[in-house]
Amino acid sequence: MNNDPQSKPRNILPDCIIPAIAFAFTVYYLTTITEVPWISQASAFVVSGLLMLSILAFAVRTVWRIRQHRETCQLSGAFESLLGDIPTMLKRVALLLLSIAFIWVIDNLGFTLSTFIFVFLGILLLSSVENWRNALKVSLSCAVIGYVVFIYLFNTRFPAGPIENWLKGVL
Amino acid sequence: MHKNTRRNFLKLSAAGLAIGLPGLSFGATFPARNMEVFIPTRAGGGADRNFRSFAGVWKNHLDVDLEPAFYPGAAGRVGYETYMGKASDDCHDLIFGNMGPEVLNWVVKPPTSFSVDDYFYFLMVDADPGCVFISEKSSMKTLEDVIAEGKKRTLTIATSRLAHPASLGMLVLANKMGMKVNLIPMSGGKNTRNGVLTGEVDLGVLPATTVMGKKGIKILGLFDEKNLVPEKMAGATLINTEYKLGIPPIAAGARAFGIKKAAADKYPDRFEKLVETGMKVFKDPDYKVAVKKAKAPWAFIVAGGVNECRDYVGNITRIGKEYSGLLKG
Amino acid sequence: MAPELSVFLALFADTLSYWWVIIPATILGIVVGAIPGFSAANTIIILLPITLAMEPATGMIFMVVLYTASRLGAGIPAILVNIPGTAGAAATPLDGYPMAVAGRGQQALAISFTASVGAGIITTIAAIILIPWLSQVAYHLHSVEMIVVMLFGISLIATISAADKIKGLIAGFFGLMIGYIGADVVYEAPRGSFGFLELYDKVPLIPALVGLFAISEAFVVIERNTILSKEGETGQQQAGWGPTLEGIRATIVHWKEVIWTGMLGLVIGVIPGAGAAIASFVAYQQSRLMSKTPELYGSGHVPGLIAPESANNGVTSGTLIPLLIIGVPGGATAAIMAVVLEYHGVNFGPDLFESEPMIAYGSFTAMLVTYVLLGFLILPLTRYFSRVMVVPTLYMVPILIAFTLVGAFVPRAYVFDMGVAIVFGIIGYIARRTGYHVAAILIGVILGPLLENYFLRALRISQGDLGVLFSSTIGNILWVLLLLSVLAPGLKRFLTSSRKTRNAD
Repeated sequence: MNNDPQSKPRNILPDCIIPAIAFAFTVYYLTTITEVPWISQASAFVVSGLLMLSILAFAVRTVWRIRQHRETCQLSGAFESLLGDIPTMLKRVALLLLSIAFIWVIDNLGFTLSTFIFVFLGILLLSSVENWRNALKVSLSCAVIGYVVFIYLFNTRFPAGPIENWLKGVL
Repeated sequence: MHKNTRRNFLKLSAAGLAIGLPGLSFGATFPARNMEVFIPTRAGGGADRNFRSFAGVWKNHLDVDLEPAFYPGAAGRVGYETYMGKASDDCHDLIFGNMGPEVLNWVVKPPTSFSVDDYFYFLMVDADPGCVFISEKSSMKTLEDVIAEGKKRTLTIATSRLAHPASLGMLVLANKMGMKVNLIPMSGGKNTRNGVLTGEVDLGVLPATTVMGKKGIKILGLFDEKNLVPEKMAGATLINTEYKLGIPPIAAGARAFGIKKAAADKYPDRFEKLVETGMKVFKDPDYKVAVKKAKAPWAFIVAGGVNECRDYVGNITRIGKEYSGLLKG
Repeated sequence: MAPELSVFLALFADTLSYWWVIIPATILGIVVGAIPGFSAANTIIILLPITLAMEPATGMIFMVVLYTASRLGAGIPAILVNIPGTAGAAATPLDGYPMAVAGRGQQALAISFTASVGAGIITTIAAIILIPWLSQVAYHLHSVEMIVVMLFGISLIATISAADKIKGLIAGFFGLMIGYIGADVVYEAPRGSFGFLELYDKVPLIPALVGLFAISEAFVVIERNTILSKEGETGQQQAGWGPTLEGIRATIVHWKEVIWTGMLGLVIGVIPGAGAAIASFVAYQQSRLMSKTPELYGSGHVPGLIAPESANNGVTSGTLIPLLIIGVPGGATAAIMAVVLEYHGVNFGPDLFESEPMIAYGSFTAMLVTYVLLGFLILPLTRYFSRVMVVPTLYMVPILIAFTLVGAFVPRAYVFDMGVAIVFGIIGYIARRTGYHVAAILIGVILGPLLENYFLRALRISQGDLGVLFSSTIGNILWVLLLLSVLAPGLKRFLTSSRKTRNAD
């Protein structure tokens, strides 16, 4: 996309992730349909063919642009361009891990408690520990509103934990 | 986590002692907590409706509530896998499934994480006969017409899914009469009905409740030996007897409570109580009121115990195996 | 079957007497529409015990109002935080969100609501008049025709990826492949499901939706102070009533757009199995095609927001027609309405309009009343809704992630689906950072399975003969139209450039 020959060549490596995932997934997908009748294969064959063609076109274009020195393909700088500078990168990765932890514990801790913990830690992560008062206020209201709306009013079948079980007894 | 096993053991023993007395009574009074019922379909469907009317009365005989938990997906497989994986062995957890399509599932593709003998059905609550139906706009007016046409050309027949008792009935009929049929799975009763109504296919097969009394639709035949709702299915041919299919009536919908074999073996007295109280529901006048209120046809309410369920499952497995090639497409 | 005006006015007045149902249902509808995962369909299921206890007419009005209002509610997060609450709002952020980021969130909301209310009123009236004809549409659109209708939607992939065609196509085809995960409708052979039974019935839509849009966006915006861009932050300062009025004005200027995309939605809504998502994609695509300034689409262009919002409100009135007349619901919500009405023993069919006018016509008059009410209720709120945009991301991001993950959980109640949302969040994040269009992926995920279902059904009926695809007259007409709409932009460019060269000569 960078047509100005004077500017620094763009690092294309991050742009290759989606085609790589798509390629790997398609290959995996095709291995799972070897045994099924042709009608169930038909759509996937057509689309996977088109996808592979597009990826091929992308690869050819990339090689072409690299040879023209309009793009480069190198590891250095790739992470930064994908995830931001080091502090932001750390925040993103930590937040992702926190989200995974959230769904990991929600079955045992229940919706209300896990939401509270997640929002509280999330806010601290994105600001600082000094902000704990605000984080507490916000996360507490989230948990309370969430409980009242989803569980109390709508009777949604959210994972129940100690708080839900206790409130069920009380209410 | 296992570092302090000894200490944990002591803690647990202490806790056990503390609740020791109620623990004893736990064995004496069953159920000691609310029953949890795994339902392998979406909330809001026919299973939900049947469950609510039955459980609403059963709870008075059990003195605890029955809480449904819905696990839709993979034509019931998710629900069964979850039940077999998560349910306790203390007789408090049951499954409420539709024996017909769900047992046919195992015929076509056995479950992966458990054996089909690890659970069994013990309380059947309804038997919804499979039926052949057609759009009122169709040129074919009777089952005779359909059979005659099927001998001339391949008929397209909408069905909820291939591995379904209604599809099975149609295949047996076609085989016996020398008809050419092409079953079109439409995924779900509504789509099946729509396919017939909009004229995309020639006719359809479904459990009778889903089409009975529906605008623009005529029921031509039933895979049964009697017509229990003649006012809504006037003139429907009783296919099994009329064409001597040589198969027992195979309800296309047969909902039943099931339980883990391990649980029933471990606590025969609890299991006995479930069967006994469950059977009482059918005689309870409140149940008839509940069924009427849910607008389900009372005629299809069939009480069945362990034996009836075993017979049903045995029959459908046998015929299913015979036609398994066609049920797979 | 269209009623006399006097009868209609009497019905309208009758409907007003249900204000005690309409007002709370409207408010509830806006709220549940705005929460991802809580579609009208889910809400009606959750509230079944209440709905079933109501009189049939009251119950129907309640459901219709809830459905209508939730459609407008779904536009709010789609515009402000790039989270379409339902698949029907999936095309709304394409131009709505860029407007919001640029600090024009209030205008965008006003545009979305005005277009929705306008198209809603027009299509509801049109539906009442056209009932006898529209109810026949379902009889003529079978699998073959539906394949072409789906392709119309899928062709949008090429359109929205104008900036980089190759990347757009990779994203779109990747989405389609993801859409093919799970069992096919005929043989039920599980394909590409990584061994998860939970993926047997295809990738769950809401988790994919919130993952691709919301969670990925949450991870992107943490480096900003608010969701707004730098210019947006200064723009947002001067909020008053002005932006709302400006949004209303901008929509009225494009009244033709409102009408024709609304009518397009109405017709698509009548088709069983099509629904709001396909309607809004097709409307967006066609609007861009007809536009004199197609290059502005995707950057916060007013017609790009009007088209999907008008269309998905057109669907709302359309979806009821086949339900009431032939008992064939046009979409998921209509299907649940059918369950409730069947429970009450209501018999669908043309005579319903005589035997139960309050249910048949009442559904449409209730819709009209709701739209009028919404006009008064929701437009003033634009000023306050858009304040969401100035909430600092450090609070916004954790709340967004928590509640959208919870939204992913709601439809099937599986924690697994929250995991699906995270996976799509990661894919969406990488896609956004590297110039792949998440909407292109999403179109594939939504429409892929539908396309395949119809394709397999058509092939099964024809016993494997591909010629079936060109076997119907209506289908063939649709094929030609599709071809024209795909080729038109290129043709247009060719004609203008050749005219230019000729002029230069």
